[in-house]
Amino acid sequence: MQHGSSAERRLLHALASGDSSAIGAIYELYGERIYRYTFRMLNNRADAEDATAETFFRVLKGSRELRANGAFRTWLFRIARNLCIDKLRQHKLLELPTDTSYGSGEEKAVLRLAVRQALTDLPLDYREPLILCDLQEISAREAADVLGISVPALKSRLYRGRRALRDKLSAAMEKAL
Amino acid sequence: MTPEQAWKLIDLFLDDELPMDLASEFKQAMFEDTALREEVSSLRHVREALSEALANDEMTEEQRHRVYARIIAETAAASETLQAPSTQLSLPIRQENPGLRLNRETEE
Repeated sequence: MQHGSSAERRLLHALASGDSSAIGAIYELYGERIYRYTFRMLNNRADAEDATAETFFRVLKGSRELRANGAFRTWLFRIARNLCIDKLRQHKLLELPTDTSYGSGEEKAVLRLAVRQALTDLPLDYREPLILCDLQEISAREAADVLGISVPALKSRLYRGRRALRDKLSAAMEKAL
Repeated sequence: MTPEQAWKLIDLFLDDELPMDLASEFKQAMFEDTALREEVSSLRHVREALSEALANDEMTEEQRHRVYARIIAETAAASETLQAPSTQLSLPIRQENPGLRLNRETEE
């Protein structure tokens, strides 16, 4: 199903009319993307699960205000983002660990870990545009709406973030090798 | 040209968003300028490394079920508090398949 498709509009209309069962199909549409987004923001699977479940629960709670006008995806990501920011604040206070498990293939695992760490170490202002635009493949316009900034500001953060990531990654790879 | 303007140009090139004539000029400039070539190459490498490193972030089936079950449980709990009917809250997962296969009838 395409984002903003007529089927999506029907689902949103059903949800707005009080049909809670439509959340299942909406979760099927967006659950994976929201989970990936929250995991990349939080770098912790358990927290990503929490944030994903809470995001859809909030969609249900706010379903009476739903407008099937194409802005649903932006709204959904904005809810997920706010939850991630709350969790990041809690982490900062509690210094909770992030997931650092290795996958298969040692060299790839080292690179994966280095990239993930470099991304985590980026200031949030740079990390968010990278996650939304380069990894979630959301358009600059939508990403700017999710973050509540202008498109030129988003692009500027994107340019700077990509270069900051490169610098962090180079340093991390030099250390790892 | 400010550094920011140069970055913009490079990123537009990497995103395939440069108009064709400008893209040709840019390629010519890359051919002549080693530093520019290296800048483009390193940024392309970072993007590839980023996509590859985070390509396996998907939810497991178990997670998918667990998250969905939580959404339903929290919704049911909220409905009970409000004394609303909960008949609409059944899982739309086909019973014959334990993997999450939500009702796709709405797509057709």
